[in-house]
Order: sequence, then C-alpha cells, then structure tokens
Amino acid sequence: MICLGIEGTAHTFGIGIVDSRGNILANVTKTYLPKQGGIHPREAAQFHAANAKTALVEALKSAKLKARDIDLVAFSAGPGLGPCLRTAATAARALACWLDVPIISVNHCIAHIEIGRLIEGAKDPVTLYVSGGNTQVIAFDAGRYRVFGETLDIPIGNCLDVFAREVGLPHPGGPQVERLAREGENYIPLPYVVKGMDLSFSGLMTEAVRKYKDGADLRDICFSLQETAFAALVEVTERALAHTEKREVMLTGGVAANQRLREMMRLMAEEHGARFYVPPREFCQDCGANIAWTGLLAYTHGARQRLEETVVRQRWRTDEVDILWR
Amino acid sequence: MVRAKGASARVELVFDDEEKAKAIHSSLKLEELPETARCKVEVARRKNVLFIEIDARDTAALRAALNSFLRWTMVARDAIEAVGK
Repeated sequence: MICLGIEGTAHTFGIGIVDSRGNILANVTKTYLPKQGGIHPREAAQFHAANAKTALVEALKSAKLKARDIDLVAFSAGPGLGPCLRTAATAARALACWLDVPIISVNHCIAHIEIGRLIEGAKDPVTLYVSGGNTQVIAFDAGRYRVFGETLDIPIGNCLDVFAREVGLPHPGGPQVERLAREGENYIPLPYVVKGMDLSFSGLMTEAVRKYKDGADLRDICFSLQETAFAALVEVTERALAHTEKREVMLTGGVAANQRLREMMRLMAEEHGARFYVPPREFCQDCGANIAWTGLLAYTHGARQRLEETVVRQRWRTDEVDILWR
Repeated sequence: MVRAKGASARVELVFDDEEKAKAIHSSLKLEELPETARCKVEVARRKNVLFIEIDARDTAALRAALNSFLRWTMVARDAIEAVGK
C-alpha cells in the first residue's frame, strides 16, 4: 500500500509518499519565510496554495509513481494554524475524491513521534517534542500517547523566535540565538519556571528582552536563555523518564536541531542508562513523510474516516488519539 | 448569526470536467462556514459549475471569505491537475 501525506499545519507545506514497508519514496517540502516578523497565518496559507501543485508534481516524480499508484491520502488535521490546516485539508480531500481512495486525518504531533520510531528504530521512547508551535513531553501508555508535561503558554521555538525578533535578529531566530549563545560566557539569572510537570517560557522571554534593553551583552543573554529554557525542558523529560521507567529518549521537532539541547538531553539519557535518539533534521522538521507514514499506520490497523469526518481541528491534542497500531 | 445583509457575493466557477467539479465541490463543502456573526457561506454544484454564495456582515468579512474560498478552490484544482488520472 502506498500513502501520500500532506503536511500543512504552519509554515511548511510538505508532500510525502511512503509505502507500507516504511520506505520513504518522496519527501518534498516548501517552507514559507516571512519577509519580516513571524508567521502570518493567512500569508502562510496563501504560500501553501501557491506551492501545492509544484510540491505534488515533484513528489510523484521523485517517487517515480503515477496517480493510480496512490492507495491512500493522509493529511495533517491539527493542531496548527486554521488557514494553513484548511488549505492542506482541502487539497487532501480533493485528491482523495479525484483518485477515489480513502482519506485519513493525522495528528501532527503523533506523526513526529512515529517517523522518529520508524527511522531511528526506537521502540517506546519518552519524547521531547519541541518546535515553534508545540512543546510537549510525550510517552505511550494504555493505548494513547500521553502528555506528561507541556508548555502552559508559548512553545520554546516561539520563545526563541520572538526573543530574536525583539533584539533585531532575523527569522527564524532559533539558529541565531544558538550561534550567539556559543560566544556567551557569563550566565545571567533568568526566570526558571517549571510548574509540576509543565513549563512556562513567556516570562523568561520577557525578562531576556528586558536584560537586553538594560544593556546586557546579547551573547550572554542568548547563552543564559538557552541554558535556562533547556534545563527546564530536560528536567521535565527526566522526570517523565523516571516515572515511566522507559529505556529510550527521543528528541524531535524543529528545535531538536539545536546542538546544545541535544547535548543536554544526551547527557541526561546516559545518566539514566537510556538510549537517545534524534531523527535526521529532515524528519525532525515538519514534512509530508511524517504524515504519510502515520496515516498508513492508522489505516492498516483499522482506522477509517468518511469524508465528512475530515474537518480540521486546530487544537487537536496528542492524548485524544486512540493509537490502534501499538 | 448574520443580522444584516451588509455585503454578498455569488461566484460561479466553470470547470472543463464534471468529475473535477465534483471532487472540488466535495472538498470545499466541509469548509462551508456555519452562520456566524460575520458571514454565511454555501457551496453548491450543478454539473461542471461550482457556486459559492456568501452573505457577509460587511465588505471586510466578504473579502476574507471570498479570498479563502477562492484559495481553497485553487488548491483543490491544482492538486487534481498535479496528479492527473
């Protein structure tokens, strides 16, 4: 069976094609980069619509497949930005109707975990999923992916991006902050907020901006911002690992590209004797292959949807999905 | 709900193929907006013609809905044309 997956939750429009053996036959992504400021949902949706045709043609060409070879269409139904989700969903529904094949909604966060399990061979990891739109510590238990900890306000990627924007660094800010942090030497105390198993980054971001306006060295602030935020993320992941007694840790999402976060997570995993996984960057980021593979897993394990059930869900939580394949 | 019919539009889109119009109609139908404070949208099809009807509170709401539905029509058409048969 061959599944075509469409990703369109935020700034990336992606088409992935995957077969039921887990071979990734194509993975084409088109990423919207705002000229200034952050992601404008309507403009990102317009970008997706304008790039859908090219992405589909490229993906089919890369996979050396024709339309008749596609057996299933999967799409990212949430969580995400409404205009983007609805654009990807419209494309997916049109394709499924046109090709007369089944369609399946995929939860974006779960897709990140499943592609990591496929590519890295992880069996049952505690996952730290960190991106511009999500920050969650997730582990599987009793038929669902459970959220053991999450941000109470802004995601870590958003924290880094907004901070960068406020101090005049270009979007996306995460890599800029990481570059400057490597040159920082002095730790500046910043708010470290862990509430139970949940996290908060908005106060941290505001205080980091305030320190910059007060004249602190930007390199030191970037260093301190990363150390503070990542320590909180690692602490919550570590507690989830200890609680669940799992033997694997996975780091995924766009912020997984950060080498300092990887280093801190790796050290924590090693101290617990757990294996540590980070999927290749292509699959840490949003992409269609994630969606295609997860859709295929769901469909081949009995999930079915009528077209009328494929309305997008902007706030679709990770722990609302029954995992039929585990 | 729409209290006053401030601005409205009816768009007719003619496709070269009834099957294509049918697939696009099925796809867009789910995006029909419920009757909210700002506007109400209905999507219909007759053979190879797609009809989009919008009743909006004001021209800003009308423009937003029109842009959205034309964007979705375009992406649905492009997706179909990209894969062919």
